[in-house]
Amino acid sequence: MDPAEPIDSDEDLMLAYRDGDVRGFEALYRRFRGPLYRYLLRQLGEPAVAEALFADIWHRIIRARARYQPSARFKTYLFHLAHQVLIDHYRHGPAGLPDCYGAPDEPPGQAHAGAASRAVAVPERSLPALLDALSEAEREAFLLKEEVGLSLEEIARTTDVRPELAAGRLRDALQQLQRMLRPPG
Amino acid sequence: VRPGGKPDNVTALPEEHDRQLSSLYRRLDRPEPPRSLDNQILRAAQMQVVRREPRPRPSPAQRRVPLPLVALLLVGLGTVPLLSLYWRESPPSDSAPPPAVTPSEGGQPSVTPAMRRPETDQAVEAGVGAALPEPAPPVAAPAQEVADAEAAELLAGIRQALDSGQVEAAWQGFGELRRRFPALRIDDALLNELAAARDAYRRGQESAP
Repeated sequence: MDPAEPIDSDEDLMLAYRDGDVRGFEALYRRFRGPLYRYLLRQLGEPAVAEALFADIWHRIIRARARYQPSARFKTYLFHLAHQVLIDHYRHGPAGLPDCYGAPDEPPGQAHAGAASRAVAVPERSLPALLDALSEAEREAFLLKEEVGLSLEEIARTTDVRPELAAGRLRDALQQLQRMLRPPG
Repeated sequence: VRPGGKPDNVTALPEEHDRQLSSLYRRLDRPEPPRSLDNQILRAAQMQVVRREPRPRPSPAQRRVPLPLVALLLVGLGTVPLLSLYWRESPPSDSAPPPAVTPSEGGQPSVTPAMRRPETDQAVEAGVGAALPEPAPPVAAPAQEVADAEAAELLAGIRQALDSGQVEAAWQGFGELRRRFPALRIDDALLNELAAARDAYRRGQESAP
């Protein structure tokens, strides 16, 4: 690749890194270090755990660089990997995989009945606290949309669910947040 | 159709809430990973590139295995099994008993049958050719000395018999000497003496009543 040629897309940067140009990775890292870190931190709530998973995800990207094929957008590839690492973390944790991830074929709007009752108990009406009141799957869908800028189809692909279920999770998240943000009375 | 004007399908989102929430979210703090973590990951990315960088392909001359090394390997691989077979069948002479040597007829020492190596050994030797060392020759000097001493003893006996007039004993000794050492060269003077003694002895026998 010509060094003077501007590198624009994420996929081009990853291809450059695959072919041995470490500047491609550095540019990609600068672009996604913040969104990925916040995605993990807001999902998990613990900086130490978020940092460990953050490093794990990037190391996986580094190790797999030779096999990279731009079959999808890089950010979908990156956050699909992040989702898998997150699910593994849940599975191996003391509480196991959250129930909201357990029924991928469940019709949207029915798997999230518990979230509304938790929302009522949120004392502080700030958005981070409200995000904590969502189920993990709803919060993930919201973060992938707001933090990463993925479309509904990309959220579905990233989280390995049908687009209808991804849309249901996101819609439930938005509705609950809106309801919780509304002034009482 | 929803109030936002979008079709009411399962993938439609409430846009009116969406924009407000997005605006709220963008105003949140934006925590970032620590710099030490950045450095660690960027270093790993660089190391991976350096580690996986393809090395230049060696030229055909560089790829070729050195010929002397190949020759040495071939010679070594061919010789070691043969030598081990040889030493297994025929242990070194240090540990072997001394050869039993007897003087052969004609004064030449001979090797006893027990010393002969089996036919299989000879076949192995024929197969390996020059790879095997030559067998040590039989020890001959002591046997020759013994033979010489015996011959000298018989000659001395003949001389003593002639000098004492015992012609029959002299000729018996001469016959023994001829039988045991047929190739031994005997002095003509002794032979003449023996012949004269024999003739005189015969004449005496004939003249006797």
